[in-house]
Amino acid sequence: MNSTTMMGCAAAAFMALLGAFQPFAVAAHEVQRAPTGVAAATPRTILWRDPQPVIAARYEVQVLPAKGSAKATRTHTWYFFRDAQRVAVIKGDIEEAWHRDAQDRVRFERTFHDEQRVVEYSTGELATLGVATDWQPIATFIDARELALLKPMAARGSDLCAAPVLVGKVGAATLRVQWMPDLQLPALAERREADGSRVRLVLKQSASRAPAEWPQPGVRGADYLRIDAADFGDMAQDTTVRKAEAMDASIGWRSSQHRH
Amino acid sequence: MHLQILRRSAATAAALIAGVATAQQPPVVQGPESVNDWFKAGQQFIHDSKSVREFNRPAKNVILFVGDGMGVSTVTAARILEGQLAGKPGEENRLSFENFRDFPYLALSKTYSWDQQTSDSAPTMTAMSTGYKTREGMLSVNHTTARGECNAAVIDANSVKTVLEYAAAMGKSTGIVSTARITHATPAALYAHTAVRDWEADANLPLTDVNTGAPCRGSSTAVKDIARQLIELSPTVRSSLKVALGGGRTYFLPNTVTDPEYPTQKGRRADGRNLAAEWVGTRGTMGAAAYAWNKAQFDAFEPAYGSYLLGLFEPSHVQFEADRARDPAGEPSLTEMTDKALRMLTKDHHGFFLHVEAGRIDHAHHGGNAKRALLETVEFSKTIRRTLEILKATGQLDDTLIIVTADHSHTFTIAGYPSRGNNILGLVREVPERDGAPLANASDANGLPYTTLGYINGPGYRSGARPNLTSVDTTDLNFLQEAAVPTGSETHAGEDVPIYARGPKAHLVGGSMEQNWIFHVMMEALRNGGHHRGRDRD
Repeated sequence: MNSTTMMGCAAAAFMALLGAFQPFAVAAHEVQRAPTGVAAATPRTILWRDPQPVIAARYEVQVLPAKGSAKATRTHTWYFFRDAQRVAVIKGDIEEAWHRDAQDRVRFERTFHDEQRVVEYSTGELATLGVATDWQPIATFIDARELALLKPMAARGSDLCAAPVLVGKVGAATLRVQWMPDLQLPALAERREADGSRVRLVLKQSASRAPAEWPQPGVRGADYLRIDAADFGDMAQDTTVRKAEAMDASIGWRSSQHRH
Repeated sequence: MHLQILRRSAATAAALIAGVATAQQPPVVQGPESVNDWFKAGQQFIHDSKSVREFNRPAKNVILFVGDGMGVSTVTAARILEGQLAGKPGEENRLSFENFRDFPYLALSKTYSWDQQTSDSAPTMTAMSTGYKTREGMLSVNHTTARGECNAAVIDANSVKTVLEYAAAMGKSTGIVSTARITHATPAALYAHTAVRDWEADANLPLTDVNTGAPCRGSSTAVKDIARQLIELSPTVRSSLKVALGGGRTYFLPNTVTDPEYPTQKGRRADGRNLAAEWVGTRGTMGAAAYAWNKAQFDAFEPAYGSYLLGLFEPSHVQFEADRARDPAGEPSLTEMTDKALRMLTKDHHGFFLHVEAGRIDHAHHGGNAKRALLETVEFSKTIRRTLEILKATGQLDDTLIIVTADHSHTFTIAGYPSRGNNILGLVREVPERDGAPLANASDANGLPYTTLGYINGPGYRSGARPNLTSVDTTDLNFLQEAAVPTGSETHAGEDVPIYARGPKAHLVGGSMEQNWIFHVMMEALRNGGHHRGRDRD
C-alpha cells in the first residue's frame, strides 16, 4: 500500500479528541485555518463522505487515571445519533445536540436533566463565541487541526481502508484512533495524557436505527425550561448557567485562547 | 590671539549647531491641535454655555435612550474608537450625545436598587420608568413585592405606573425600540409589571408559587407573562403603543410552530397562542397593523399609511451590529428601527413617548469582548444623531425632551499611559521620554506588554502566567480583553453612570441624581405638556 493510499485511508480516520473526549467539543477557532501536513495532502472528499450515513451508536467511555493515582476508573455510556440535520449525544444526565437547517445554519443545544433546563446557542451566538460550525467535523468527531498530527500505523483486514489505525501526538497527549470509514466514526479512540491518564472511547454497538431500549434525544427534555446562552451574563448565579459556562470554558468556548 | 578667537568661535558654533539639531527632533506623538486651539475651544465652550437656552416649558415629546451597560469608560472608549475609525486620533472626538451644543445638561445617576449595591437591568429601568426604586429582577412593581410573587392580584396592587403608561393616558403615541428581546428587562419595564424579569413567556413561569405553593403557570390567578402583557395592554396603552421593534419572537410563538427564519427551532409558548398574529388582530381594529420578522417586511411597512407595527427580527436578541450583515433574512439596525419608529410617532400631533435601547452593549461586555461593545455604542451614537436630524426636519426638536443614559456600568477599564491616538483596542504604547525616540510597548512587571482595555472579571481571565500579546492581534473582533478575576461572564459594575439631556425641562438634569429622578424629570416635562387629548383615564 503506497503512502498516498494510506494517507487517504488515514485521512478518514482522523478524529477530534478535545479535552476529555468531548466529541461535541468543537473548539472555538477564530479562523478555520487550512489543514497542513497530511491533511493538506489529502483531499477532503477522501476524509469525509457526504452525506454521512444515518446512524445510532453506543460507546463506552472510560476515564483511566494515571498509575498510582487514588482516583478510580470511571466508565460511562454515550449514545450517539446522526442524521442529515441533527447530531446528538446523550452522556448520562447531559444531552448535546447540533441542528443544521437547509441553509447550513447551525445551532446547538445542551440539556441538563438534573436541572431540567435546555440551554440554546443560536447561530449568531455560536459565531460570537468563535465556535466552528463546519458540519462534517461535528458529524464525524473529526477535527481537521489534528489530522496532520496523526500517522497511519497499520491497516487491519484485507481491505486497506477497512479500519486504519492512526497514532500521533497532539500537544502533550498521544492519540490512537481506529477508524471505520463505512460508519464515518471511530471504532476506538484513546487519548493518553503526559501524566499517564487515559480516556478511551470504544464503539460497542451501531445501527441505522436506534434500538427501542435506547434513550432518545430531545424526548426527556421536551418540556424543560429553555434559556438562551446570550443571557448568561444576567444569570450568573444560576446553577445551570454556571455549569454550562464551565463546560463551555473547558472546551475552549468563552475563552481567551482564541487565535488571532 | 586671532587664532584663539577663531577656535572659540568655531567651538561655539559647533555647540550651537549640535543644540539646534537635538531640539529639532519632532515629537513622535503629536496631537492635531495648535497651541491656540486649546484656548479657543475653551473660550468657545464659555460662549456656548452662555448661549444655552433653558426650555422651561412642557415637552410635546419625550425620548428616553438607554445604553444598557454603557458606563463612562464605555462612552470614553467608544468615542475614541469612533474617532479612530474616521482616521483621527480619537480622544478629541465626541459621540453624538456628547456634543455640548446638542446636549448641554449632564448629571451622574446613582444606580443602586432597593436591595442591590450593583444592580441588574430590571430595577434600574424600573427606576427610570416609574420613579421608584425596587428589588433585584423586578419590573415596575414596588419593593414590598416578594421575590417570585406569582399572584396577579398582588402584582396589580404593587404595580407602579410607568412613564409610557402616563404618556398613553395623556393621549400621546408611544413606542419601544431595542436590540434586545422586546420582552427583556429594559424595554419590558415600560409596559409590564412582574416580580420576575425572566417570565417572558408562559412556559417560563414555575408550576407553583415558590412562596405559597399556589398554582402558578397556567393558573387563572397567575400574573401574565411579559409577552402576553405586551399584547393584552389596557385599552388606553394598547391604542397608544404604535410601534415595538426588537428581538424575541420565540416568546410570541407557540412551541408547536417553527420559527420562520430558523426552521429547526420552535416557539416557546406552551399555551398554543401566536401573540405575533394576535398583535395584528387586536391592533388591526384600530388602524393598519403589521408584524415583521425580516428586513424586507420591515422596509415594506410604510409609516405614512401604517398605524401599528410589531417587529421581532430574531428568536432572541438581534445580532450584534458587528455581525448583523451576515444575517440571511436581514435585520434592520438600531438606527433604522428608530428612524421607522420616529416616522410613525411624529405623525401624532398630540406628541409621543419613545424609548430606544442599545441592549447589547451589555451582552458584549458580559462576554468580555470590548470591540463588539464599543461598536454597539458607536451605533447607539449614530441612532441618536439620526434622531436629532429627524426631529429637526419635522420641526419638533425644540419640543422634545431627550435623555440619554445607562442603566448600570460594567467592570471595563482604560488603563496605562497610552499615547495620544494609540489604537484604543491595541497594546499600550507610551509617549517616549525623548522627542524623536520611537514608540515602544509598555510592559508589566515581567516585561510583557498589555492592552489599554481590560476587565476586572470575566472570561478574559488567563490562568497561569500572563500571555505575551506582542504578536497577538488584540484589535480582532473576537479578542477577549484580559480580566483579573475568572468568572464565566463579566459582571455589572456599581459606579454612577452619566445622564445627558436636552430640550424642555432638561435643565432639571444636573448634579448627582438618584436614578429614579429621571422619571420625575420626564413627567415634569410631560405634565401639562399641551397637545394632549382628553383626560387621564387609567
